[in-house]
Amino acid sequence: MSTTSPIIIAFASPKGGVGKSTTCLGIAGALSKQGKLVHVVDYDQTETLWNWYSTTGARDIIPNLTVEKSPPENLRQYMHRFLELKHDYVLIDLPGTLTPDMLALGVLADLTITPSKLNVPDTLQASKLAADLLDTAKRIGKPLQHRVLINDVPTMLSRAQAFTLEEIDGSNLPRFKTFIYTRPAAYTEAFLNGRPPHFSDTSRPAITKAIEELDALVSEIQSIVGQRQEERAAA
Amino acid sequence: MTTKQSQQFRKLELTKAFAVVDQIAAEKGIPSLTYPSPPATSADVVPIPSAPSTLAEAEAAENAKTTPVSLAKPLKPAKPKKLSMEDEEGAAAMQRLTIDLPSYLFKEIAQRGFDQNASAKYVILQALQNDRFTIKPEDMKKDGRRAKKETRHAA
Repeated sequence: MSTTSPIIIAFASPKGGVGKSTTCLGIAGALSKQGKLVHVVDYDQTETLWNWYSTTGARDIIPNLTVEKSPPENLRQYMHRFLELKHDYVLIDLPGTLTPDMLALGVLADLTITPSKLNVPDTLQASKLAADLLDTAKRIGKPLQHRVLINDVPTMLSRAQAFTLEEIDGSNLPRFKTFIYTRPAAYTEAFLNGRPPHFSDTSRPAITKAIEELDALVSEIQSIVGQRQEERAAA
Repeated sequence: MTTKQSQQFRKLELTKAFAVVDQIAAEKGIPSLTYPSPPATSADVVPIPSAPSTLAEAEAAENAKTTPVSLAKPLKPAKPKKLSMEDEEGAAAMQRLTIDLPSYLFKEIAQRGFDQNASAKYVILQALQNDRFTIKPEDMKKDGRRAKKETRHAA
């Protein structure tokens, strides 16, 4: 059990369907597999993660992972409670629309992850959110930890996708080095059987590859939030 | 910094951040997300009727429907069906005839109708009757619309 306040990771995107819940689930599974105590707050109106947790028997499969449905009223008062939780990580799945609460959480979280597929609408919305978060962080006077996660990447990129990736890399949009590839057998299957890749059948190649990329991603995440923890301790 | 101090520091961060975020949201026109409030009483909840499992049950449920359907606007009373000519006081069935007339004759018929307060049709039927064509008295009617206008002008 952690002796410090939990590390808060927000999954935020002004656009729906980019893979926030799926990525959140994969990362939660990876952190749980490391033995971390993980708490997921499903603030999305679709309640994807809450449904997953409450209907698939996930609570029995992953005992050190808990999911709660956030009360819709007054998120701001509710946010104070995150700091008092005794978990190692609190992952917050936000609704796919830009709100003042998204900006507040996006800046105050130790890390904000914006999944984006390699297409223009997703990338455009990710860039806009990055600009809004940066503006908010500057005015609050807090350093921002925001990363775009390139999600649902096919093994062969089309010319348009390759161009989009070049544009992202050419801009100042910070992104994870790790890509999440298109692996429905590993990621979307978790919503049926309650098992994220780390708790699935590891003899299947798709699961093994998903675990590898999630581990690489979690390694990057821990490197970022590790620095933030040191900064807070030094302050 | 102890854990407690750290948490207090972060609480201050939250309060400050909310104020700034509200200002930014107002400047950029970012709307807040609102959720529908749950119904206050159970009376507000409309129960969903259970679906009939058999065809016979469905038919019985359909026949048992006696509740009138509420409508946003009250229905206008249906206009009475216009009676055909043969329905009016034993008048004969009519057939339409379209013919071309010299314009001077057309004008003369129209003028005669105006003078007699009658329709062009009445003027033509009258002429045919004078030429010994058979036209029953019940089919020889002046136009009703003219009679109404006459009444209105008279009033």
